[in-house]
Amino acid sequence: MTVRKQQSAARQAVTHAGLVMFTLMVLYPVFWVIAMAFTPQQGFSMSLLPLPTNPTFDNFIHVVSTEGSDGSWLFGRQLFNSLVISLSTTIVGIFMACTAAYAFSRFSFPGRRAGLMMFLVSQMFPGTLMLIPLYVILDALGLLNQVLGLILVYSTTSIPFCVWMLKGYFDTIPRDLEESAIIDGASPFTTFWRIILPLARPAIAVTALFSFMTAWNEFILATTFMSTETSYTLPVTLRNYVGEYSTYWGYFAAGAILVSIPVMALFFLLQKNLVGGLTAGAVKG
Amino acid sequence: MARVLFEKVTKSYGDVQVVREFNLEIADQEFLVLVGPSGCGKSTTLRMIAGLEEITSGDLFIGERRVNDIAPKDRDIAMVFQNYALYPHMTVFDNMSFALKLRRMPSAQIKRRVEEVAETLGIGELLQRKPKQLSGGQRQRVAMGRAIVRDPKVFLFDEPLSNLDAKLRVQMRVELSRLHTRLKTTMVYVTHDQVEAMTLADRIVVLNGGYIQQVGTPMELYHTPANAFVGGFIGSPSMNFFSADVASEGGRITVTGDGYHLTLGDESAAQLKAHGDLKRVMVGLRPKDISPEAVEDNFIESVVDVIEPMGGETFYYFDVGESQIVGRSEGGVSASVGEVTRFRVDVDNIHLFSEDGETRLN
Repeated sequence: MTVRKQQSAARQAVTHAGLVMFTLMVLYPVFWVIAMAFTPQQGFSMSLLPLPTNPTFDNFIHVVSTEGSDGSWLFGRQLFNSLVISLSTTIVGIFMACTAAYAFSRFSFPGRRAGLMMFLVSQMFPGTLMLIPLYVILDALGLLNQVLGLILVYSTTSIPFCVWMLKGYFDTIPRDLEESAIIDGASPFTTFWRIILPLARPAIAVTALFSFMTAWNEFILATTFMSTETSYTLPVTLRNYVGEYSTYWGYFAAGAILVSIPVMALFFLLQKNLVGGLTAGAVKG
Repeated sequence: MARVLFEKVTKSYGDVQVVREFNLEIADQEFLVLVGPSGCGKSTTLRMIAGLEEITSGDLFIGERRVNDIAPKDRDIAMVFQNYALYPHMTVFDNMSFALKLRRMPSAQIKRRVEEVAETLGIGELLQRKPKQLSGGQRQRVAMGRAIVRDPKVFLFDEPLSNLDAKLRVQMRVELSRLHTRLKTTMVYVTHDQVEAMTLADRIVVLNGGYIQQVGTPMELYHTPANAFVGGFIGSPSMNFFSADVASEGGRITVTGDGYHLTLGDESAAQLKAHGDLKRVMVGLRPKDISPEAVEDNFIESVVDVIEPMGGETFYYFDVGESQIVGRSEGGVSASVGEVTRFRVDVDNIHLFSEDGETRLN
């Protein structure tokens, strides 16, 4: 008995040591970014311990108060761009993905399998491969340098993944619930809206978060399609602090922290929906 | 008037026919049970009444109306699903009132109706709970309540008790019986459990392989099964079957084989003769008609394999030819395992079938 206890204590110690190590490995770079952000621009030096020397908010103040060439509030403008693009991508993506995924999950129609496969195949190509075709299309549509252009591009790239994810979840919702609703007199739309969607909340939350983050963090397409500083999104601005001849690590780190705040906020907002077991009690398990 | 009428209804999935040439009239206020093994087409038949499955050919009427092309919501039916199918994100009240809200019934009326039904089902206290906070039996009641509040013309039950434990199942069975007496509505009930069928039904339809095997009252099915399948399906423990030679001895007809000798009664003999000069038949005997007793005629003699004392009755297992036979006696054990024992057969209750078991001969 005691031997077994000792063994399990030793095993726990090893497990926890491993967990602590991995946690540090993940957090160490984050600490570095935080340390850089709070260290004055010229005062930063590499050291083992990521602690800021002469901590200051100067970097944050500089990043936030950056002005454009016309004297306007550039950071605000770019934050607005990023928010509008990401939120619109999320809303468009969720709406299209939910309806498409429900159809793929429940209805049988010609091209159903082929459609699903195509969605999957589209995910296999790297995004940069589509850079030139997308550029040509946006140019032809007059959507270069436009917020709407990026919204469309991001939506089309995130929808296939979202459809697959939501379809997988819809598949797990018992059909009996829909049949029950049909007999109760619900139209297909009412069934979808009042029975299925509320139950798919966890999947929708994850999908929304995914769509938002994809759009929020995207850099390559944004830097290619957006050519004026007032149309930049925040990742493009961030990248500009890392220049060919000089790099403003302090601004970059402060900017990175500021940029991550909305994503974290969204995560906390959606967190309560990221729970399983919503369908518990519907049918006998 | 809410009779349900099937006229030559068939259902196929591609080349596979699941329900074949289904002709049946379910009378108004009747409690009809569809029973059969898995895959016999009973649930499909029920789902065709509900409108959840399309009818491949034939006509289905509810009342006087042909409903083949009528949407489920316009058929005035309510269905209780095997696994309850309660809306998990809604409270019991919302579950029960969902259909009424969709019909735009005034909310005061909805509240009154739901509370009234919940009270009669003993779930009045649970109206604000979510399904996951309920026990299996309570969920089942809510599922039934949801059907009852709608006051439908026809109730459809798809194996509603199969997810409950044995004790609760008996309790709910009795409540269903009461419910039918009180509501006086046509009810169609699907089950694979012949005990439920026997205890609940006004009439039973036995299905196998998509075909109706027999339609009748529980007692008709029990006493005069139309074929060996029905005989074996209805009654617990099941009917025993074995093949026997038919012979004529001194003007009487006997069925004999290794270890048994049965002389048929006049009525059975005459009925058997009417089918011509048969050499072999399939004999069907219920366990209650085979009991250990040393008699000189109409007996089966065999070595007892297993004895199951149940207290009030005892079951004996032994072989006749290739078939395993179950006998029964009232009260305590009156034989021993491994001993050759003689069982008296009540030939008045013998069931004779054609050798393939397809046709009843007496």
